[in-house]
Amino acid sequence: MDTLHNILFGFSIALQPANLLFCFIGVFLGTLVGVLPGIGPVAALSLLLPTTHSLSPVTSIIMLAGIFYGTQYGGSTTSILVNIPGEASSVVTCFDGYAMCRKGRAGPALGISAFGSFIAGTLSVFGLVIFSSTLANLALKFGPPEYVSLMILALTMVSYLSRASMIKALIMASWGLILGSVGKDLITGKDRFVFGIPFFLDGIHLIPLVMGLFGISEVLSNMEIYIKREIFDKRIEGLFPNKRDWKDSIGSIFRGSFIGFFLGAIPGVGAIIPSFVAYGIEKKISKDPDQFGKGAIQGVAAPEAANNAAAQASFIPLFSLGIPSSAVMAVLMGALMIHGLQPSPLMIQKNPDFFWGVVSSMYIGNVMLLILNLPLIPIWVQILRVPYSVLFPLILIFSAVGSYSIRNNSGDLIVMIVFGFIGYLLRKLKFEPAPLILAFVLGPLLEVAFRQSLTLSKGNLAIFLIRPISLMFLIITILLLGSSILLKKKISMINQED
Amino acid sequence: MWSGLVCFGAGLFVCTFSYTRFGLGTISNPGSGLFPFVAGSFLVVLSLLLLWETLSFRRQKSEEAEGKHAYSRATLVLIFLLFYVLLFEPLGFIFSTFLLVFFLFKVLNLYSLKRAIFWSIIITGAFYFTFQYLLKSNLPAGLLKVIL
Repeated sequence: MDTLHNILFGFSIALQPANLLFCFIGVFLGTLVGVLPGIGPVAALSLLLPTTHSLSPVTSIIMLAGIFYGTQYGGSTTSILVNIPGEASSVVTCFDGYAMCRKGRAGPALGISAFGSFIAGTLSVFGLVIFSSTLANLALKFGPPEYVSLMILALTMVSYLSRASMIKALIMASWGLILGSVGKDLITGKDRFVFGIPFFLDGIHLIPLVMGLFGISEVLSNMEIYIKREIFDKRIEGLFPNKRDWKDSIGSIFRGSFIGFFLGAIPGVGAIIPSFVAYGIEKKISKDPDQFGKGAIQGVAAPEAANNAAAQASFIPLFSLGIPSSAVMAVLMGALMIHGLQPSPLMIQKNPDFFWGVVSSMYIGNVMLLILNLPLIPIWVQILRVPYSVLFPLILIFSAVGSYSIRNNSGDLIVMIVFGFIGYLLRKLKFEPAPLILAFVLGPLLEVAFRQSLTLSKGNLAIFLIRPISLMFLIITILLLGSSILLKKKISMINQED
Repeated sequence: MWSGLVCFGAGLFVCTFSYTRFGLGTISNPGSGLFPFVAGSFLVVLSLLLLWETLSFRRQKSEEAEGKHAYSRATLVLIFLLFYVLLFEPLGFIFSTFLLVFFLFKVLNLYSLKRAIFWSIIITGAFYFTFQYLLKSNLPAGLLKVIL
């Protein structure tokens, strides 16, 4: 009953005209970003974060969240029609989606991916409500030591799941922690790594850092490759899947949603891994696995459901524990803090209008995406024709204006360019910037919790080991590190045998 | 290889800096330097691991040849951006943005002179309108202030 009351309260907020409008703008921009290859959700969120300055916290997060889950919808459109994943999480959709398109079944492929995404999105919103409140209640018992261990676990998890080497990812995380400590130490008032430059007293701001590492560096790397786009010209007919399509794919949609939701809630998993897992499972349990890759509708339905469910589930750690689980969530957390909200287990209790409003808006956003996506597909295809040469100056100016307008300080522009260049080098050297961003955001929280824990225990480091929840987090961390070493040994053994 | 060495050096620097300048404090009363010191030591250890890894895997790796042309485009964009940032406040948003877009279009050989000017004006105008009026940001006026 209580939950129902809260949901109704949430809808009363989400349905306010301004919130509806910005929810629409968010999902619309998200779809746009999803359609356009060469700009990902992290860059898009940080590009648009400064534009929310004059909005209320609820409205801004409604819009920013809409951008994020909107990208998951948009990404599939290009996967199906042109075999280019608009987002990394719709790579799998290419396999069968594009095959369906070539067989002249682009309509049902787009249709089932939109409906599948909608069903998954809707189920996950309910999951989000249930799990966030439960987890938040549990987390209320956490003290500083539990937080320290949890944050260490989150950072290790993100590094563990990084596509490149784990050592490189952990190096990035260490850099993030160091960069996060620049500025005045809030506890002792000492200046750290300021080097006599007053600009650094307030620390490095998240926005120019993200703009540089994700926005500018992406443009610089894209300057080196030529993005070729083959545009699908035929008319797309019959977006509504027929009875047989539904029968074939409804199970896949539910399985995909389930997998996506539970994997997506784990820090660092993101939306890519669930879509691959969902695809793999469908292939395994299918009576006709040979059809996969040749246009099996299950191969579109399951991963599309999974990536949407995962996108929505990744809000859980942020909303319930106050800990971002990915670079996107780190930026979103930055947005919350800019608007004066401190993410923590208490957030749901302290700011019920925020939590329930945003969650309800997600449901509305899903409906909007369904309506927006199906009839507007021809427009999205047209947008693909916009050449990158027109797009990249826009991204550059957006990044610059965004970084500047946060504090009206051109120092932030310099920070952006420096990190743009560093990010460009990092891409070349196969370092991923995501763990850095996450550590940068978590660093100051981790430090405070760490120092509080030590003060609490009068300098006894065993405090992290004698508290059971903290110990459990640390054991999982060590298991992850250990398994990564074992995995590495195995790979090098296979290499040597070759 | 270089990335490992750079990280190693930086890690050492962070550690010594934290130790000497900020003070580690005691373990029951941690100072400002303790946390950066721990992060710095992670960096040192990890970069050593990375160095060890690159040295032992080096034989298997082959260098990829990349186009010089591509590099130069990225460098050009970076140089333009640097000038943009330096001129952003003195020239103001409108002039510096116009110049940036114009040079990007022109030097990268994307458009003819007329089209480049046309699009630069349109893009600059659209951004100015959006940020200055719709989003109420405070963009630097620069030259515009002097002229008006």
